[in-house]
Amino acid sequence: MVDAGLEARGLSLGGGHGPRLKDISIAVEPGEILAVAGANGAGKTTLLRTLAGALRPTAGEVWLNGRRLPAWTRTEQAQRRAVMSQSHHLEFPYTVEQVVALGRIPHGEQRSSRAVQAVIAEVLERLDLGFNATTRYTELSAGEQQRVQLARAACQVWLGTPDRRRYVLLDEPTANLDLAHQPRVLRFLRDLAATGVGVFWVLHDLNLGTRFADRVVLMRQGQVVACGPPATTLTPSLLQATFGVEIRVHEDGAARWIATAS
Amino acid sequence: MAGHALGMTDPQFSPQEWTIVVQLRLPRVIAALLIGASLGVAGAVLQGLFRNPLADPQLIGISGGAALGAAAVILFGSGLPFLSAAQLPWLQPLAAFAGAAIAVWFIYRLATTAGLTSIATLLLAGIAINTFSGAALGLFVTVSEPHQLKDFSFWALGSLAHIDHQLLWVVAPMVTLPLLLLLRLGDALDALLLGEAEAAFLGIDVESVKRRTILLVAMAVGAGVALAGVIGFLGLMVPHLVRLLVGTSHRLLLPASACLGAAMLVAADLIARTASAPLELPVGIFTAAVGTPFFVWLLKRRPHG
Repeated sequence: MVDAGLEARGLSLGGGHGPRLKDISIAVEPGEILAVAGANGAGKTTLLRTLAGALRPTAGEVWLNGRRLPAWTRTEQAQRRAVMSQSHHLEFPYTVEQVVALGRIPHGEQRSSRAVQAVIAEVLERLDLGFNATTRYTELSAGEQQRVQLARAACQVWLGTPDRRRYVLLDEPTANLDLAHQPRVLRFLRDLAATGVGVFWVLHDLNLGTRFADRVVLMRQGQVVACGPPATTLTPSLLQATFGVEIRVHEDGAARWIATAS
Repeated sequence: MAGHALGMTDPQFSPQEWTIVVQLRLPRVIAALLIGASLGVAGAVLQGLFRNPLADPQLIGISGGAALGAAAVILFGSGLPFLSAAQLPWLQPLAAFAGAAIAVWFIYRLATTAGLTSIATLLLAGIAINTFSGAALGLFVTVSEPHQLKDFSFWALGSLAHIDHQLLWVVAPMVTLPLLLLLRLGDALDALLLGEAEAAFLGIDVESVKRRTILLVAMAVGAGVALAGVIGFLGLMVPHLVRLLVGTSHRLLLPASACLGAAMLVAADLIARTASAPLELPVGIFTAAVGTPFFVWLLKRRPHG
């Protein structure tokens, strides 16, 4: 096995109504975008939270850069792995800058330092939030809040970390984005991956996955149905096995469009 | 000379007046500064910990728990055979600390599920504790000798009128130490506002932060209550005013809340002492008079439950 990557090795997680994850072995490599797709309740978020260390697997292990996850301290994990969850509610009116700066907490820097401010400014600019830096987070739209949380996670694994092999785990980071911002966010993820960050991306729009993911994991009922490049995984038969409905894939040159048959 | 430092340069200043300043006013101001600072910081920390702008040491019952602990020791402590009168001032803030800690623990267990605090449950838990401790205090005051528990209004509304000097020297470090330690939790509290899971992803040991916070708040608030009773609403108002002035980040919010809380309690106590002199009013009347409408405004402003 490779010793870089964020890996699930034979991961299982029991739950109230049967297993939530069953014998999952996948890995995100540094520099790749791995998209995870599946029907609601397939265990995508559970897998993400288990990889992040928030849920303890009942069998199997999570490995981070060649060491078992619990062998790293919390801070060491946070220096190498950022997480963006689905909920973005904040009770108090922090500014956009302050929220993004939280991503630097694990690095123990002065958050007002010039280096940190430069990272924040660059990330905000790339996510089209530059003009919002001093706006109150609570006054933003859902889509803008989502981009701020993505900026925070990106800031956490931006360069200047002790280990080049870093990961972001994103739970539906494009769910609230408008059409104009989706490609911008996805280009941002591509650039992030190019700096050596492995992107674990729980996906909700399969058509985005075909264009931006290096590999796709299809999940159904806590198990991996298929894992591989979009061309081999996003096929009608595998998609039907994953979602349980008939799905057509329209190929138009290099582009692929996925839609239900009905 | 301390007199000069306090601006008392009037040559007509008599030894009697000097005694009043040093023996009565100075300890009173020190107590107001300490308790005001502790309430301001406690409010800010609790609002961060519970991720809830309505958290306040008095509203959610921490002060009530502390008052019950302190009063129980005053009332029953003298009956304990192994305890001399000299040890009573030490035991009193410790019992208040224990009462406060039990109250926060109870609230946290009751109101927080999966890391989220329901506002309704939080306030209802506070009502439950406050009602219980109010009733128990009422009973204590009724059965106590007149010299033991002073009066009920001291515990219910708070007063700085009769600061026990011996107690002040015990309480001062018990307030100062947790305040200094709480000031270091700024980053952790900022991270916690994202949610407990998110804070953990930022490398914060959430359980340890929660435990430390609860113990330190209980100590600071409990010691203050042992000295001056339950002074309400300061912990609610101060952090909100400070957020308007310096913003939301806990690095600034915590020290600024300490300063503003101290200043506001000194001012409120000045009014309590002079407004209807020679009659002294409990200082809690003024904090409640300003705090209640503020609380209602906060409650109305919230868009959702």
